[in-house]
Amino acid sequence: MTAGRATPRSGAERRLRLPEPLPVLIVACVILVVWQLVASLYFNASVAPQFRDGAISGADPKVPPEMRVVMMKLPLPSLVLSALVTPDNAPQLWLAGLITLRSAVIGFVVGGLIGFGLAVVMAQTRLIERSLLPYAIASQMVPVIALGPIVYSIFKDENVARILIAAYVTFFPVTVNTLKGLRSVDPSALALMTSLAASRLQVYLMLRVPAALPYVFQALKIAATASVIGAIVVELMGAQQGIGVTILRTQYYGPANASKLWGAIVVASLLGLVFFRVVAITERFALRWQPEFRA
Amino acid sequence: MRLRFFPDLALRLVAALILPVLVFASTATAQTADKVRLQIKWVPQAQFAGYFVAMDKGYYADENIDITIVPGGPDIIPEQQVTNGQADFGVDWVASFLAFRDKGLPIVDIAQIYQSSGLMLVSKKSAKISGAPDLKGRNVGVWYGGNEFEFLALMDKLHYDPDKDLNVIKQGFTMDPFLAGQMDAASAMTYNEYQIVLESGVNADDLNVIRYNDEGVGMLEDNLFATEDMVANKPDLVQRFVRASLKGWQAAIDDQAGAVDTVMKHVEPGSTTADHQGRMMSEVAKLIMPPGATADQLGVMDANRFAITADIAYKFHIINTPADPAKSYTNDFVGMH
Amino acid sequence: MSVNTIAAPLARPVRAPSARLAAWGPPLALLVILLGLWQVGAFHALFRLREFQLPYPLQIAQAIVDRWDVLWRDAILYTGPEAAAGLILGGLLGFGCAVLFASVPFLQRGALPIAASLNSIPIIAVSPIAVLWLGFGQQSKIAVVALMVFAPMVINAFKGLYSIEPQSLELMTSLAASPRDVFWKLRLPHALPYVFTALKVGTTLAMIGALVAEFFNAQHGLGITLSNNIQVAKMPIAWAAIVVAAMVGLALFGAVSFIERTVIPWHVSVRIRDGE
Repeated sequence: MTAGRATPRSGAERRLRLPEPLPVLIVACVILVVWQLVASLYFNASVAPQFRDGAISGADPKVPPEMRVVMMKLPLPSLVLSALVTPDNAPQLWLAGLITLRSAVIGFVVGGLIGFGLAVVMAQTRLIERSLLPYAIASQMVPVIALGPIVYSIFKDENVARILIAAYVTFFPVTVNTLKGLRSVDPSALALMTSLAASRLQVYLMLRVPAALPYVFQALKIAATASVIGAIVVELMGAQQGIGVTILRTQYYGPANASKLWGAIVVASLLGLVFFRVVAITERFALRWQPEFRA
Repeated sequence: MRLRFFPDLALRLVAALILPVLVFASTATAQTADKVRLQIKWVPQAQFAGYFVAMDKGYYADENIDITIVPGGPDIIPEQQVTNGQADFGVDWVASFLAFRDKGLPIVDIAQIYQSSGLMLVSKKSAKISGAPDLKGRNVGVWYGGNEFEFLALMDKLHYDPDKDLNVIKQGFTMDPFLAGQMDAASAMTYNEYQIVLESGVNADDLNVIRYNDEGVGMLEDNLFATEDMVANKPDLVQRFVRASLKGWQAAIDDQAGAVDTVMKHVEPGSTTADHQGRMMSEVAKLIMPPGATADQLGVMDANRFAITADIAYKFHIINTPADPAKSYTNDFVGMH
Repeated sequence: MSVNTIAAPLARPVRAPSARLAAWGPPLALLVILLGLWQVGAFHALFRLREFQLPYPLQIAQAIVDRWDVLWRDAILYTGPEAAAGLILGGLLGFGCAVLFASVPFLQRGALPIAASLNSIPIIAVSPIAVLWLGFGQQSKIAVVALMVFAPMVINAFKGLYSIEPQSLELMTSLAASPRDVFWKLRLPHALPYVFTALKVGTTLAMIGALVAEFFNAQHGLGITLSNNIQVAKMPIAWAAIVVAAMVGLALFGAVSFIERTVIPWHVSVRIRDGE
């Protein structure tokens, strides 16, 4: 394994470093090509030749239903991409994505803050951790259909309730990772701080928090992608628009909408991807001292 | 010269005096419009056409109501939404409505929109399920969460044990598993899933259906309900809301093509077609106004039909005490629009 | 704080029974107090909740007792194994991808964000497709869980494998360590705390994933009991399913923590007993 070397790269390695969005795009293209190949093979294997056009367009009433469902199981990416760019569908799909992204960001911020705060409290003593952690874990096992009426009843305001439910989905990974990070302080560094008579707050600010940050950023990356799910879950509780709403409604009306459904899935994962990249770039700046960013 | 200016000036003065009054009056009326939220049972579609038609044609506005129709979804329980104040009125099926009433939710059925059950079991002829008794030993998809009681009543009638005599699968909200052949028989509504199956390349001749209505175990479905509080303290608002809603339903049934146009404005673009919503509207109209019904029966709860539904509910332990017709529903707001 | 804490032996000290009681006593006492408050209606009064929104502990306990055989069977035969199998499968896949990404820098920048983005696909989209491929049984639920657990594992494991101090790498090189040695003796141990953290996050995702996947197109499981009953206002039974699921989730989390303490007893977070 040659990765991860923090020493200055050789001239050859430096030349090969492609500008940022390119690697993702290249990998995405490779995935799409492979997907197209596999999907075409599967489609041709499952659908008899005379029905192939009909199975895609949906216009031929004679196509047997089992063959129509093929598009729902593994659609051709060419069709999914066209669902993402044709003027009929595309504006509405992307607008739904933006609406969901906005909710996701709010859920991420609130969930991240709650998660971080909870971890700090739990890091104080093992006793507190043992007292609170089971409730944090158990809380994640309550599905939204049970939680929703309770939250709505307590917080009459619909928007507040939605933000809290989204935060509820997001906080746990942040708590677990941050707690690990706060406890992963190098004991010799701790001893050094004590020998210099550092106060508790100084130890926190100058040692524990920076030591925890690598874990915290992994938590934030997970939370970034999870907050999209939080936003979608909340939308399924009566929102008028959003990617979650789109997914529900396109699915409901049958296999003819398979391309649009998968298009919505792609948009949801794109939201997660973009959000993840933003957090990763932030990590790069905040943790410049981390080995992999020092090169 | 002066003569020419005078009328002009007079007109301007009159306008200057009257216009603000008109504007003030119109905003004043708008300010006093009641904000109402209606929680429908599922996503916007022709199943709820009446409300969308009433909204778009201004029937609610005529009654001084500023309405928001809140879409439903898999995690929404209309009875909970109405009770915790997130909605003022709700639409749900009578069985689950009664279940929530039984557990103490103070809700009242203020209009019974759907008079006839549209629930059925559909199977391909190749599965050889020509009648209900043939269900024995088969993979049968059943919608739970309040929609399973007609099925249980049918099982009871046939003396089948759903756990032992059949392979019951908790069915989701799509027909894809049925189309893919993973289920022998699946639950369907006449107005939606059945149509989707037909649209997916299956001939009506190739399908067998078991309609719960025909088997004598049909239960009442979509209603309109509100809290007892609302009915007691704001009967005028309830009356106006029901009146506008029924007017919307009547308009939808009379002009189905127009209703479909209205519904298409509220569906997710690209998810469904006007044809599908048109078929849905036509089937829905048959359930709301079954053959022989007259216009003044729109929304009226029939005591006999309620009794059948309530009895099945009691028999299958949806409710622990028999439902009291006097408290569960009221016809005070219907039948005289 | 004494120096002894830092220089503590790597083996965990055996604790006296009284120490164990002191350790677990307060949390259990807290639980009893909370349950007591809940039962007398403190939370209902405080938040103006009604019984049909949140049932009382004794009602839930009664429902658990009444339906114990079904709940137990569902937890042990269906939902629990679905969650555990999905956790292991997703964890292995995630770890495998992390190893791959750590070896090929291009993939780290190109494929890692895409792998992470799989975490953003909601169950409501994945579950029906999984059912079409794998049927109504447990396989489709395991697939859903594996997908949900995959991304956190990739993100965490990658960080652990990749973010090595250069001095350690140079030390290995100066000792003529082969790449295989570097992996097994440096990268992997460094990654393990991250891996276990991801597994802990994964246990809750796995449980809720298995539960929600059972809401649609399923035949057995706690999720069926939950959703069927919650929609007809049978709250004690629905919450009984939630409580049993929570217990299984806690047990899974505990198992992962136990394995962690056994596998990486040398890690600071496991070694240091408390606080400072």
